[in-house]
Amino acid sequence: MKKINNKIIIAGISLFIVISIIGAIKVFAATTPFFGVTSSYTILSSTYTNTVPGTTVTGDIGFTTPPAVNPAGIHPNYGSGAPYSTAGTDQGNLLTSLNSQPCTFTFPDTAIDLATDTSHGTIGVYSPGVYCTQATRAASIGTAGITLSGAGTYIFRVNGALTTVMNSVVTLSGASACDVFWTPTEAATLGANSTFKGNNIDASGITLGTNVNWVGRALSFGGTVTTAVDDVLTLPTSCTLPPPPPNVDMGGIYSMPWVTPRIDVTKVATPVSLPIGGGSVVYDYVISNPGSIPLSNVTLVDDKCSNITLLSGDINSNSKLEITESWKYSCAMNLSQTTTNIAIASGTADFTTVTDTANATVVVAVPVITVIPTPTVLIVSTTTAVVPLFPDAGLDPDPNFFPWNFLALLSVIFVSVLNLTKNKTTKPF
Amino acid sequence: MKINITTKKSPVIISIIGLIFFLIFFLYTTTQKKVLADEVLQTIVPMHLKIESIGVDALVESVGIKPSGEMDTPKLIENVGWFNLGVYPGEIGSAVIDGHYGWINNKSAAFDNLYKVKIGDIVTIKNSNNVITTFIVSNIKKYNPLDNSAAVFTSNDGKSHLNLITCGGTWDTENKNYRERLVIFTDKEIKE
Repeated sequence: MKKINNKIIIAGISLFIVISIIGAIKVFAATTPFFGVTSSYTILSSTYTNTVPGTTVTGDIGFTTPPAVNPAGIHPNYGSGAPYSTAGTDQGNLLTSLNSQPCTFTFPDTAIDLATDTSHGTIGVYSPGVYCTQATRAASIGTAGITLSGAGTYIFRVNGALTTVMNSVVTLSGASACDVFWTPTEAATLGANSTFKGNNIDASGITLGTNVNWVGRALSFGGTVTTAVDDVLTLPTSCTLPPPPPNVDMGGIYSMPWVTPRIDVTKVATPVSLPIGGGSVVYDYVISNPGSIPLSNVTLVDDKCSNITLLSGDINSNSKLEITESWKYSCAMNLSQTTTNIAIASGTADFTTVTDTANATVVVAVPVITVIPTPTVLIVSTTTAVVPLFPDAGLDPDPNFFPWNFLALLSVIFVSVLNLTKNKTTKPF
Repeated sequence: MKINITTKKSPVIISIIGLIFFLIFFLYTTTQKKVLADEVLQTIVPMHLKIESIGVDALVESVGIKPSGEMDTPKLIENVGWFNLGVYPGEIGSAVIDGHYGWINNKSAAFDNLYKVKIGDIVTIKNSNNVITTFIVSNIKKYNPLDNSAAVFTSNDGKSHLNLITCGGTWDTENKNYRERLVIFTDKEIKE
């Protein structure tokens, strides 16, 4: 009897452990966050660059600086009209939610080729989850490509740049492009002739090579999206987008990502460039609360523009930034030279102060006097020149660099010399 | 006896054939780096940059300004970028071309060896009409990334210049940036 009781107790404990583990896994499973109005945008950027005909985009395209050549395709919202700025705010919320989900797998501390990595499991195959690279580690998709296998949410949190090589392919096997997320902290570059799937949220900029086929979204509000000839970008269809997160729901699956106080600020300068001598610029700021708790003591400062005015947003006039509110500010100033200024928003909730920053650059043209001497007269003409800051053209030193080409060449030469020497020494008389 | 000689020489022959195949493969992959998909050109633009003294032979992309105010950089590290808001190379004024510096995935960037350029070296640029313009290196300077860049992007001497920019100095791990900008100033060759 005693033995039977012990067996029942052991079985009960085992069952409890199994249920606990399954429950824990369910709580931390990756989830597709609320998109907001971002869902209709195939491209969301501050600068959209497209210099050649032949690009096709299906879905909305948001930007403040337009492309030289408009892409083909249907895009009901095109430019900076509503709901462009809201989409930017929603993109921030989307990223915040994605970043708040814990890693289910962290790659080794090196740059990762997702196509050849075996540390996560079967080479080239990924199941739903949150995959994270170590700090400052980039990720790439090599020629062999990857397969996302199984229904569910995939989050690739790349703490560096994301690169896909020429001709690489992301294949979906039971997964949906709606539920695939890429969140590199540095620029994303998709190689020519590559096939890519999912939503890439990357304010550092997204650049496509030629003939890229992408089902998903290029979300780079505040950054630059660059497309090339023969690129085809398509909004995912038949997505079951999740509802907005509950305000405060400590028992729900969404509760974990939404209990932290958060603040988000965006800043847009109008215009972004001025003629010779400069002129007046208006900065528009939007502060929102992507967290779950109202923020008090909300402040906004700009390091160069001091007369910031709150225009609207405190709907219930309680001086607290509710999670449903977006506070709009404005500040005007005169610029005589190219200027970058930084805005810092802060707020307090639950004894925690949170901050966010946003910057904007306005380029002021400088005069160039060109003297053209002629036999009898001197013509002096003045033109406008745009003077940007120096480019950042340096590549992050590659820790994996090894000169295989030269090693292979040396090996061949070594073998050749060895054989020649051997033949000479063993030549029969 | 004949068979014996052939057998003994065969490793040498195989090695030589291997070497030839490797060189063909090496040259092929090097050439492939330079291949860029055809772009539809609407106007005359710079297409090809050559600096024979350091082995640079790169296609030219058209770049503008980033939202942060910096000159943009080429999409492909083996290409160079012409600043399309300035003058064309060969026009009066200072045309500017930038290129990446460093290595990634065992591939060197276009301007990885730009620091080896010397005053007097020749830089040529071919435009979309196959017209080649020659420039001669006249000066080499290093700048802080935040320095005023007007002297690089503008000139008022009534001459034609082509200035090349890349990164230099040491890598700043915190800001993920090189600490200097290397600028090669050139003057258009004046034919007698």
